[in-house]
Amino acid sequence: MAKVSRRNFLTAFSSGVLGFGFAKKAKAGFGHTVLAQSESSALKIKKYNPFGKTGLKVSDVSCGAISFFEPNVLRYAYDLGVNYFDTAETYLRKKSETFIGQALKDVRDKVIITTKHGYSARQKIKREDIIKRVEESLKRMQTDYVDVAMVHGISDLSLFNNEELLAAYAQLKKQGKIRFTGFSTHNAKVTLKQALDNDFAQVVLVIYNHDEGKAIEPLLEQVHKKGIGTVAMKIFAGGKHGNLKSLVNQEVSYPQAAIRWVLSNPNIDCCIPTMSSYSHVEEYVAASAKPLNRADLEVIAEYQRQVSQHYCRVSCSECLSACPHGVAINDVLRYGMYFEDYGMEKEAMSYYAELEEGKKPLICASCSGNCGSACPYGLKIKEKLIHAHEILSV
Amino acid sequence: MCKCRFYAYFSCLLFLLSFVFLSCSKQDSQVKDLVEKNIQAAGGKEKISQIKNFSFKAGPNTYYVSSDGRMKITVGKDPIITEIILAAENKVIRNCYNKITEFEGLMKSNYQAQAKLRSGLFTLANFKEQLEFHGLKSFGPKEHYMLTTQVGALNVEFYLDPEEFTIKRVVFKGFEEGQGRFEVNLDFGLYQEIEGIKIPSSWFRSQVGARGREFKISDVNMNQALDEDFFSDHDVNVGNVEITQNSLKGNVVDFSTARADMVTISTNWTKESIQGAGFKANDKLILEIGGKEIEIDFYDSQPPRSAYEQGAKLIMPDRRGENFVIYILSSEYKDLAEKLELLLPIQIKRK
Repeated sequence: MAKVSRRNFLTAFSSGVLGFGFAKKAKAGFGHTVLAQSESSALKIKKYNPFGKTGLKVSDVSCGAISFFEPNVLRYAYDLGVNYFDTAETYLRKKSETFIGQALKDVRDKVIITTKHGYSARQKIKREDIIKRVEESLKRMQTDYVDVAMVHGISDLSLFNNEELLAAYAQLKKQGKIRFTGFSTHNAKVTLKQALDNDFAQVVLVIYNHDEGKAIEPLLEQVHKKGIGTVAMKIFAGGKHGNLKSLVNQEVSYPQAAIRWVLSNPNIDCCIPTMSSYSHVEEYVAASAKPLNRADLEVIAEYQRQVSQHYCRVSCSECLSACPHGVAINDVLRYGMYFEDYGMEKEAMSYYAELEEGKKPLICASCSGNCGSACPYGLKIKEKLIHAHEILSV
Repeated sequence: MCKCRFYAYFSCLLFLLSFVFLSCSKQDSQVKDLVEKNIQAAGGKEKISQIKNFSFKAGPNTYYVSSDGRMKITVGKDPIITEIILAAENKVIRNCYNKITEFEGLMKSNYQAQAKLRSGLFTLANFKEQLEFHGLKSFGPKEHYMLTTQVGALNVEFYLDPEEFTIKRVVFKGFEEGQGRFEVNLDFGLYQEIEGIKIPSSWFRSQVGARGREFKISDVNMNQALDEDFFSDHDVNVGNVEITQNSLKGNVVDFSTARADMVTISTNWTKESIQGAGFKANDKLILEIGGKEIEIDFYDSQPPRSAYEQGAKLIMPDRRGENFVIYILSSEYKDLAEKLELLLPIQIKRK
């Protein structure tokens, strides 16, 4: 005999005794039990922050759309109040933008979409190419405009001296195809400083988490003061807790603690955890507007204790100057992290393949460089680079 | 007067009891009906009963399941099997390089739940006796019937498509003292029909806080001629290890020659075999492979940075496995690549 839970019994009991059809009519003649429904309807985004000087307001917990299995996950996020969605041309090999379109086209005027395009220093930047790429993104997203168009993954703002690039984005803005511009970066210490004197950056997307946030906090404050919208990514400091044991007690969730830590900084407008499945959406939305508490800090401290020796703080970049060969240590280790911790093997390998040969750790094995003691967190850089190269290039 | 009151109370009680009975019966029939529809969606009771076993590949693993609820997972490049997991109703065993261990707690329940699901051809057939019905749950515009059950220490949530009645997602949840929180989502892709049975074409596995990964289901085989003891046989295929003092014979179980300046060879030697031969850290060993003799350094743990110099030749524990792996960081041994094959005999001995 099938079991009847106490909650189900009480619901069935009350609806039956009262004789009202409270419950939503179920399909195929099934049940009048809508507990699952009412549980999730209590879950909602509770805070919307001004987004720099854009005049927009973004949900404090927003959506990173880099890895998910179907468009409806995004739609569920929207239904729970998430209104800011971050994608990029390269995410899921362009499928993320397509999914964004499928999920949100009928609520387009109620959501804020950011997409990103990367430009290789090796290739000549042409205005018409940029325009074409942005227009193709719009087509995939089934929209006439994107709220924020970002230049993807830059380590300094030298690209914004490129006239072709500036002209392309200016033209797209004039045509109403993009509303605001900005950039994403793994090198916020440099780029945020430069952004203070640059008008291209109306919104910035930076790494900010409990493990590598402190260093950029003064800059974040200045950027925020200037009216630049601030979005935090990589908020789970490596996403390694899926591999960790003994991390949480039953009551405190590490992801929620990490989100609350990020949002406790008033200079962050929103964060964009990757919403891969419905459980992710529910877990992260539940952290909206909740203050950071002591239990959260304890969980974070435990995470740091377990992960500290393994996690490359990508935005730290202290080690870069120690390499005599110009290896992009933080990028290589980041791709390694995508491969091993994020389960994004194919994407990680393709990002790595695109990296300039000179920036790959090809000669690390025979090098007696100084990177060994260059990591302020004690990471064994050389071993990690060789290992990353091994997994990313096979 | 008292009598009237008694009758009134008695009638109320009777009404309540009838209601409870009816509610339970209704739950019962809802679950039963859903399970039937779910089985029908997969191809029907009769068709499913004809499947005595089936296998498929997903990611690096090959899964075999029997209709009586047992599952066998094998890992390794065919014909090598470095690891086997056997899941049955009473226990879950792992054999990794001939080291046999038994799963307990949440991991045990997880494998048992997956065995029940897969051996029921991704239907609720093997769970029908213990299911609780929770009505429809909305995920945005999509709605799914939600049913739950308990497998050992694990809560299992099933979500069914309300039109097709196939399982769209399964969530495994649990908490274990000292082990922390366990939560895994499996979101199933479109269903594909194979020999009249509908099974998912993929699943997307994700854990909250980390990104997900898609596993495509391929190489589906049904009703293979399997040995009678197939689902209890946990022998791996990693060749043979011969241990003598100061010498170790074994086989290649995997290799990589993707980099021009490096050859990587996975061996079937484990910590136990290395200890048996008496090798100690910093020993100089001679590796015999493919007609060549190569001097290599032995490390019993992750070596220091200096060990990775170009030209270095070393053997060390695999970072991600239970075996030892040989690295030859030199283009001098490029021709070795042509000789490498799975199960190629190898030997190391003290210099």
